[in-house]
Amino acid sequence: MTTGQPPAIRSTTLIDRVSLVDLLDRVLARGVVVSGELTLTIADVDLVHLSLRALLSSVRPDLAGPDPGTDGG
Amino acid sequence: MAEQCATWVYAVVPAAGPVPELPPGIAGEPVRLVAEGGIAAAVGSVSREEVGEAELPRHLRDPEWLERAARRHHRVVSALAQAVPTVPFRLAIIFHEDGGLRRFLEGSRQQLLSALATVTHRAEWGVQAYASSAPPPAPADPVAAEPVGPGTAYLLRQRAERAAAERERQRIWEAVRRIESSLEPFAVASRVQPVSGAGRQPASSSMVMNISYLIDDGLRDEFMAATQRLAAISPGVRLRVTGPWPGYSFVEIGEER
Repeated sequence: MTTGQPPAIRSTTLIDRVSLVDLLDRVLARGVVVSGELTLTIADVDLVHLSLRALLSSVRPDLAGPDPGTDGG
Repeated sequence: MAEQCATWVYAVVPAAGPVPELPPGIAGEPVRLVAEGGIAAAVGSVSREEVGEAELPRHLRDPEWLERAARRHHRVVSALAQAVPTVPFRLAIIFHEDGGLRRFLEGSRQQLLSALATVTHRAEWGVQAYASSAPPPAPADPVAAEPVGPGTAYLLRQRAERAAAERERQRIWEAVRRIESSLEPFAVASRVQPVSGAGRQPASSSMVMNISYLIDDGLRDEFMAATQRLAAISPGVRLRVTGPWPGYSFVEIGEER
């Protein structure tokens, strides 16, 4: 009985090819409040997130990625 | 004595059960488990030079640092998610030291157990739709009841083009609605993702839909088949499916109680 997901992506190389924009959509936090035990409140990351995406496209246009086709990414 | 290292959290997994071999973390550090009350956090000890209170915001604004950290973080989370139910943590959850982490695990135990249940035997899939970049065919010059001057002819053409563009928008909107209503029944839950804005090239303003679906593993093949069918019957709209993702969009680690 499996407890994990079907491992459609196994190799590190494939994972590295994940679109950065798709990845940041998911890993940059939003809406989480944390206590004084932690270094950084996620509200701060929210602000960073908003300004950072503008920064990404201006500093590294290649990071924005080409308009993707239907290859499933 | 000031701590040299802080505790960066990647994910929470069940404390019991197999743990796969894990890649190094965001600073190249080994990833270890901290278990408390049946749940375990996958963490790494990272220097304050990387993730201290002053350094982290600066690093998060550095595109190269952010990309490296995001990819390495995701690589650890993905390795876990391929083997065990995994509650992904986003960037950046950092504890001053393990003691604070343990208190958090203890205090948020019910929430984390609930999140584990949410992701067990499930994966996140991203479905994006893009309006075809080909413009709709130009309408033929409208036939007027009487001959009209060039100015009027121009205005009539403009009106016809706007009407054609509106019909195209309507068609795309209907296609998106059809895609959403077709895929929703497969999903445990869905989340709307950003569609436009910074980080995507202007051409990607042709993105008209960006939704994450939480899909039971058992329905994965049917879900994929449904997306392929929808791609075939939606002229003017391109579908792009990504996944399986760890369930980033379907867990919220909230305020410590």
